[in-house]
Amino acid sequence: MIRDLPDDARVLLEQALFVSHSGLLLRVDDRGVVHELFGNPAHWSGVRIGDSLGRTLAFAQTLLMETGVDAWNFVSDGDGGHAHVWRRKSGEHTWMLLIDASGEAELRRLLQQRGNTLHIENERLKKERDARDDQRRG
Amino acid sequence: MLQKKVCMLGSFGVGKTSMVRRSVHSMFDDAYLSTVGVKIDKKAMDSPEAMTLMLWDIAGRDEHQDINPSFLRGAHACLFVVDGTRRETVDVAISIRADFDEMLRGSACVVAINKGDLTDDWEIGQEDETRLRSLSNSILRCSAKSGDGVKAVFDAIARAALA
Repeated sequence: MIRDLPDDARVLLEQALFVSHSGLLLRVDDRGVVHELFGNPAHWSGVRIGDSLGRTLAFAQTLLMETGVDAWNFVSDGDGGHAHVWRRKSGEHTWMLLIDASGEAELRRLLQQRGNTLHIENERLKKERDARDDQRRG
Repeated sequence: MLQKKVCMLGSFGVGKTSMVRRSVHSMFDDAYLSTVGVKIDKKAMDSPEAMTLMLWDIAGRDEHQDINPSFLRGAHACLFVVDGTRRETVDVAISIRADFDEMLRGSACVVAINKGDLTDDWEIGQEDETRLRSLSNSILRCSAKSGDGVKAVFDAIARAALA
């Protein structure tokens, strides 16, 4: 697929994948075996041609088997890293594009966590206030 | 190996991630770490038959963000988690089920009432449990902190995923 792009577009895409060190484009078969890759595999568990995604990028293997959806934001396999993932079926193979979203996810987590913690604290204070009011009345 | 997709749903801070950590890694951490997007984990089950549960631990619903519907598609079962010390998390669980009714219609559901170790702060009563029956008849209490009841919850979700 990437080879079929016009030269200028292909160069731009390859630069984006390589220069940012954060992208990986994979061509995999139905069993999740990698046949082709572009980008920076060292950033992605060192995945290599011939590897099974199940051993190196387990979340990508899971997404490969999903039906009805071809794009997922902020997916993690629990080790802390997050990725945005796109998938496109092409004949007997599937192309998967993974973009590292870990920085963006951490920023989002910090904001979300601050908001959630404040929300829970507000709930607790409101309950205490209500309990005091009940005591006063009763 | 048979694989079943299980989505974990509920309000933020109810303990979805802690339940996965307890069940899959036998670990618990008191520190609250909010989930972003989805964390996908695997749990091997040998009963009622050998299978792998693909656990999609989905970021909880809060005031500012909703659940990403693309995470829910194809779920064999949903585990709704509520916090026994926060009654409002019952409403959130019920509203999630209603809002994604069409997408979740084919998925079996189980409800886990977490934080069973905090009985002094318990807010959920019989009336709330009755309301939760609109989600599932399978309602179990557990504590991700102590581990009590967590195995029973995942056994129930495995049975539900097979049904």
